[in-house]
Amino acid sequence: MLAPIIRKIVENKTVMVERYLPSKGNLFVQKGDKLEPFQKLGDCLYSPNTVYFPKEFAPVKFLREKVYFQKGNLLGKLGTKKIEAESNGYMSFDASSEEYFFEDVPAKYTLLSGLWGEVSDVVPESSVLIKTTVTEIDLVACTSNFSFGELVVFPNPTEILEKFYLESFIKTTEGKIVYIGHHADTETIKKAHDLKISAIIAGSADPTGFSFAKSVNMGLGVLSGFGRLETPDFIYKLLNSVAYRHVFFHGDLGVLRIPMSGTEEETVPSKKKKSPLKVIKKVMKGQKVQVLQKPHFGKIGVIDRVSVSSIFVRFDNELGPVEIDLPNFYIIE
Amino acid sequence: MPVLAAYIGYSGVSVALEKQDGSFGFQRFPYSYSRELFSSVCDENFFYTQVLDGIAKENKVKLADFDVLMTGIVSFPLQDLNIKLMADVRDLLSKYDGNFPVLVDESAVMTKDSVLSQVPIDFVTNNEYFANISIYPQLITRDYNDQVSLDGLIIDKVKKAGIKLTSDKPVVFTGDRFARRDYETVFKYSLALDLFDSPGYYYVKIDKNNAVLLAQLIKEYNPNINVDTSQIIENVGTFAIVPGDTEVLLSTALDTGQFFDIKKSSVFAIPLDNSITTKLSVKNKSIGNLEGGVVGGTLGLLFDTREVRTQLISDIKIMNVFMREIEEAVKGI
Repeated sequence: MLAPIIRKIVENKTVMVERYLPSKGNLFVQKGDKLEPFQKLGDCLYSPNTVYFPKEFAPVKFLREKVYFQKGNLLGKLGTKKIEAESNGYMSFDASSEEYFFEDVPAKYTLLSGLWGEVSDVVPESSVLIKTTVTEIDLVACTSNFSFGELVVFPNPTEILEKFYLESFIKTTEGKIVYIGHHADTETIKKAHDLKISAIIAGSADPTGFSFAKSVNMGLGVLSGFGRLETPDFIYKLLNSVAYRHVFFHGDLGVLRIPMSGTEEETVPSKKKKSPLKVIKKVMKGQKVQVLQKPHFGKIGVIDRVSVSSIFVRFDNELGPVEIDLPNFYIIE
Repeated sequence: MPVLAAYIGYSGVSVALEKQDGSFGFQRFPYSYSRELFSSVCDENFFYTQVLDGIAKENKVKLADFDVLMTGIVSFPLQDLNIKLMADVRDLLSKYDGNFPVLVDESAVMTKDSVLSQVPIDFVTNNEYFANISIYPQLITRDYNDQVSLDGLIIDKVKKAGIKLTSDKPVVFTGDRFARRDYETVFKYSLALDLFDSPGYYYVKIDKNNAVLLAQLIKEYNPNINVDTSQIIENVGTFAIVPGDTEVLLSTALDTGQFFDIKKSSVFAIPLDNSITTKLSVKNKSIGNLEGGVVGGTLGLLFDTREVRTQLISDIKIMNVFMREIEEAVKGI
């Protein structure tokens, strides 16, 4: 009997990561420089929020030049509705779209490296290409967004705790990537969206919550599948060990990339790295498998014996082995 | 060189491998490439090359010693396999003689002369099982309701296409839905029955090895090779779709005959071998009277007198009777 191998964690992969400024600015590094996560790559002036008004918008005064407004000042009217400045900023007229827009006062934006590596290329005033080493966690289902930010790891809590954790992080979650626990229900996903979390990771999610995340362009990645499934223990341990590190959510590739320092404890022995990649293997006793059959869907166990068209798997906390039909499992490495 | 023919389907790979004596062995690898699981590690080319390599090794032969022929849902390059012939599924079905092939899987329903539906099922719905199939396409379920929903989607697709399945030749159901191992074998028979919409008499066969496609693929490559599929394709029996009350008289040269009065809205199976032709007389108001010879098979002779053709397995009452009938029919031969 043959079965595919899935690698939930692909260790020490060399990749190129582009870090870029949101608008033109200054870069402080050059090709060949060695980088650490908190190293400054560059800075620029940047308005984080820009609001375009519809054509029906009537400004307080006709203007073609940039005009400064203080927070609370009247900008104009949209029908009978008064529009006020939500922050200090400038209103301008975009001649190409013939629309007025308001942008916050530009603030200084500092671009950090976020990872260990070496500068491979520099596009002046714009971006830096970094050669780095990452560990990739496979997301079996995810929205196709890309985002990066600090990884916040919650314990594998109950539902009540999930919401408590989310709310207690209310001032600090914006732009972060949060591992939310074994299961992300629709309500939690909506709450995370309200809190402007850039992406959430969970063992499993509700299909409706997943559709919601897709519709609002929010990052959502699941590790085991849909329904109420658990996060494999070894993945949780890895996430926990890299909490607060800057990570990259690549929805298009279906992976969460975690930059690694390349220090000894984070490096896989060279022997392991050189073995040729195998994706199909003969099913044998003692192999670790992920089971995809109710009521053990998503759980990881060890093969006790192999039958003609099924296997018997032992799980932690189970008395005897459980029969699992071929093909309702994958070998895990 | 001997031949290895492969069909890459929605949920697995079916293979016909030529043995030393010139006969063919049919095998199935019940997994397909899932982008969600493997894209961070390998592409389709690498995956399917390893699958065919693994199957060859299991048979203690080398893949390089075979002429590899390929068909299936293949929209990607397979440059690592030295493929001698790559054929289109529709082309193979249209050239297949003898029986009337109907290919059914979760992405398409095709017959010898038409594509009934080629719209993939949208799996990311509120149904967790469907959502998980979008990640793990090979899943088989032990949950009766999940099976009802899945087959119901296939039947709906065919009915919405508005094309009625009829043929004077034996109808052979093939494709990955019929190659997939079901928890209850009766699900394949009930799906086959539900795919017929027009009253009439149909001789039905089920191909669990995609042998129809593989045999035609080999014939295209070398018309002198004759692949014997008679032992591989299951002769299910005759399906009589006769809405309303029906009277049946069955007689052979050896007995005096048996009379059956079959009430409307039921499914009734009579054990009947396929080695001898049995004389059949049927009285039915909606399709008229019939006298002729009939042969049986695994199920024998199956009468479906339902006037409203809803999904058979969704009706627990009639399905329970059907399962009992089939058990008795199979025992009776």
